[in-house]
Amino acid sequence: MRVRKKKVKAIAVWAVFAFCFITLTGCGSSFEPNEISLVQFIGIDQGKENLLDVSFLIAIPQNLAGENSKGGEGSFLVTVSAPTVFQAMRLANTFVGRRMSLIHAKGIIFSDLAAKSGLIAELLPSLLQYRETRGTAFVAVTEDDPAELLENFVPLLEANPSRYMELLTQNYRYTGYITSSQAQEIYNELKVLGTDSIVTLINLSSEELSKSEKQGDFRSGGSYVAGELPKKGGVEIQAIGGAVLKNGKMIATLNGNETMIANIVRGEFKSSLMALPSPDQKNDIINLEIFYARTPQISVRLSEEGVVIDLHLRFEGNVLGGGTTIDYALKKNRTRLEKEVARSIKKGVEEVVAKSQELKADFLNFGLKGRRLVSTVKDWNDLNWDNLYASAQVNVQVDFVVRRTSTIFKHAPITTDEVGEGEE
Amino acid sequence: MEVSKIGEREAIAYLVTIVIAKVFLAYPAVLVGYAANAAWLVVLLSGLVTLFFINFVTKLVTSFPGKSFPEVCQTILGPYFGLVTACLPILGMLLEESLLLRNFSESMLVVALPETPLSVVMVCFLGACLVAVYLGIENIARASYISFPFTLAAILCITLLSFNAWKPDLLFPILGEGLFPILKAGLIRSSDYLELVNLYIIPFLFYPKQVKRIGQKSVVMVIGVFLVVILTYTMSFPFPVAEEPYLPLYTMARGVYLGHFIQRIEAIFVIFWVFAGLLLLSSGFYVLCIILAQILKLPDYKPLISPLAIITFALAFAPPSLSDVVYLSNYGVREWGWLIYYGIPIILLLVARLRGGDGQNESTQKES
Repeated sequence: MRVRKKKVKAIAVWAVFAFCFITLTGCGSSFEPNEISLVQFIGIDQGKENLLDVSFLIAIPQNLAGENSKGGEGSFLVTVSAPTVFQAMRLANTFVGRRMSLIHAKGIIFSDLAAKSGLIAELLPSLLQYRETRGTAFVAVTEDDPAELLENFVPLLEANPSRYMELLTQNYRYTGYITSSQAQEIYNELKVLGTDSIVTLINLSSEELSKSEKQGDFRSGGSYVAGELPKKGGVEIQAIGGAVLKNGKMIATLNGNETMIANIVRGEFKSSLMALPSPDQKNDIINLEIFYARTPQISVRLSEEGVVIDLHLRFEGNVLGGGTTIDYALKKNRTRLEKEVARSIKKGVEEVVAKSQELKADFLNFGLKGRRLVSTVKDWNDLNWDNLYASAQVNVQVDFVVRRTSTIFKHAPITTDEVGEGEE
Repeated sequence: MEVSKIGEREAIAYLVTIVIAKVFLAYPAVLVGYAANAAWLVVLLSGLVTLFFINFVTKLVTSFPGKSFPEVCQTILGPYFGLVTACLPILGMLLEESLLLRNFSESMLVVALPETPLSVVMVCFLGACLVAVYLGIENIARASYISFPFTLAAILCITLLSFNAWKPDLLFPILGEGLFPILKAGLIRSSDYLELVNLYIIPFLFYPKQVKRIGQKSVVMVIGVFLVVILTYTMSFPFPVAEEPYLPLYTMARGVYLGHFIQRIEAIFVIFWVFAGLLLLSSGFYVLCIILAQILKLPDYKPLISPLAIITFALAFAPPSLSDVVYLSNYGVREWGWLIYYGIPIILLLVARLRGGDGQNESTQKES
C-alpha cells in the first residue's frame, strides 16, 4: 500500500513538472520584442480623408542600441487617415510588418485645430482606457502639423527621440516654462469641477535670428511662446508655454512666463532662473535663481460680494549677479532687490489671474481649495465655481528673501577712472 | 481531520492577508462609489462596526470550545434548524469563491494576459488553489504568515511611491456624498471584513483564549491598511475618476513615475497580487470543503475538493462579463453578506442565552 502511494506521488510530481515545462514557457499574450513595433509618440490632427490623421513615430530598436547610434536614425514616421486612433494602428499594420504597440508611447501631440474642436476630451479617455497607454505619457498641443513636428524630433545628444522628449518635457522642473501635463492629470482635470488644464505647447522653430543691426531691448526670457523664440541650432522644435483647456477645448495660449506663474500658483514649481532690471541701475540686468520658501498658501472664503481668494507666495533665491556692480550681499541693497523681485512676481501673478478670470478658466486650480467651502459634493456642484471664480477677488501677497549670493560674499567694484581699487 | 492550531501571529497574518487581498481588486473604487472622496470615513466606520460584531464572534467561539461550527449550530438550534443555519454560509461562500476566481482571472487578462483564454487562466488559478487546499489550512495560514510582510510592503510601496500625484485638496468636500450615505456604507461595508468570520467557522485552527485578541488586532490592522490605500488613492485620483478602474491599485502602480529608473513598477505588483489572491481563494475553498465535510459528518474533506472545484469553475462562468462579476461580488453578495455572517453568531448566542446558558455550562452538565 505504501509503495503504491509513493508511486502515485512520484507520478503526480512528474505530471506537475511536465505541466510546468509545457505551459510556463510562454503564454497566449507573449510577443517577442522583434515582433512588435514600439510607437514612441502619437500625433493627432483633424482628418482630411477620414475623421483623423494619426501619425506614429515608431522606434527602430537596432538603431537605438549602442553609443554610436545617431539622431534621426532611431525612428520613422507613418501617418494614417482613420476614424479613430485604434483603427489607425490597425491600418498602419497593413504596411508596418510588426504589430503596433503603445506600451512605450511617451507622448500624445494634438494639433491646435484638433485641440480647439475638443478632440483632447474625446480621445484622451479612450486612449487611457486602453491597457497599453500609460497615464504618465505627456500631452502636448502644436500649432503646426503634428506629423511635421514629429519628423523634427531628431535629437542630437541621444539617439532615442523617446528619451529626448522625456528629458525635454521634464525640464519644467528647472525652467518653469512648460507644465508636466501628464495624460492622467489632464484626464483628471477634465472630470473635476474647479480645475482646468494647461498642456505643453510645442511648435516648430523657424531657426532664424533677427538680422537687425540695432541692439534689442530687454525682454524677459519667458515672454515667448513656442515657435516665436529666436534661436538657431539644435533640434528644430521649441517647447515653451502652454495651451489652456476649458471643458476639454483649447481656448487660449500662455507664454513661458505665464506658464511659470501658473506652475507657481498650482504648487508645481520647482525652480527657475529669473532676469530683471536691477532696482538701482535700470539698464543693468540682474540674474536670480528662485525657489519656493514654502508651498503656496491659498485660502478661499465666501463673502457677501462673492468669493475672496488670499494667495500668499513665499520665495527664496540665490543672486547670480549680472551687469550691475551693486553689491546685493549688503543688507541695504538686498532689501531693495527683494522688494523689487516680489513686486515683479506679484505683478505677473495678478496679470495671469486676470487672464484666467477673463477666460473663465480656473487653470490656476484655485477651485481645489474652493472645495473646502462646502461639506458635500452636491453643495460643491451647486456652488457653480466657474461663475464665482470669474468675479472672485484675488489678493496676492509675495515675499522674497535672498538666501545666498552664489559663490561670492562681497562684490568688489570694477575699477574705472572714477572708481579706484576697493572703492565703493 | 486532525488539524494543529496556529499561533496568534500566524492567525493575524492569515486573517489580515485574506481580508486585505481585496484591495488588489475593485475594492477602493467600489468604496469611492458609496461616499465619493469621503471613502476613508467609510473605512473607519465599517471597521468600528466590525469590531462590534467581532465581540459576538469571539464570545461564540469561547463559549463552545472544541466544537465545530455545525456542531455549535446543532447544539444550540437543534439538529434541523442547526443544519440549515450551518448550511447558510456555504451558499454565500460558493458564490463568493466563484466570483473571486473569475474576478482574479479576468483581472489577469486585463493586466497582463489579454490574449490568453480565460479558461486557461482560471484552470491555473484553481489548480494552484486546489494544491493548497489539499495541503490543508495550516499550510495556507503559514504561507500567509511568510508572505505577509511582502504583501504589506508591496501595498505600501505602491501607495507611498505615488506621492507625486497626491493632492490633499481632493479629500474635500469632507463629507463626500453626505453623512447618510457614509453611515449607510459604514454599516453595509462591514462585510468587507467578512473573511474574519473564519474565526467561528473554522475555530479549530485557533486557540480559544487568543480568539478575542486575534479578532481585534486583525480588525485594527486591516483598518490601517485600508485607510492607507483609500487615503492615498483618493488623494491621487479625484472621486469621479477614482470610481472608474477595475483595478485601482494597479492603476496607481502604473502612475508611479519617479524619474527614469523608478517607473513601471506594476510588474512587481502582479506577483504579490496573484499570491494574495491565491491565498484568499485557497482559504475560502478550504472553508467551503471543511464545513460541508463537517455537515455531512465525513472523516475527511479531501474527497470534496474535486466536485466543489468543478462546481466553482462552472459557476464562475455564469456572469456574462467582468462588469457583472464586479457588480455581483461587490454589490450583490457584499451588501447583504454582513447580515448573514455577523447575524449567525448573534442569533446563536441569543438563542443559547434564552435556552439557558452557554456551551460551557452545557458541556459541564453533560460531563457530570
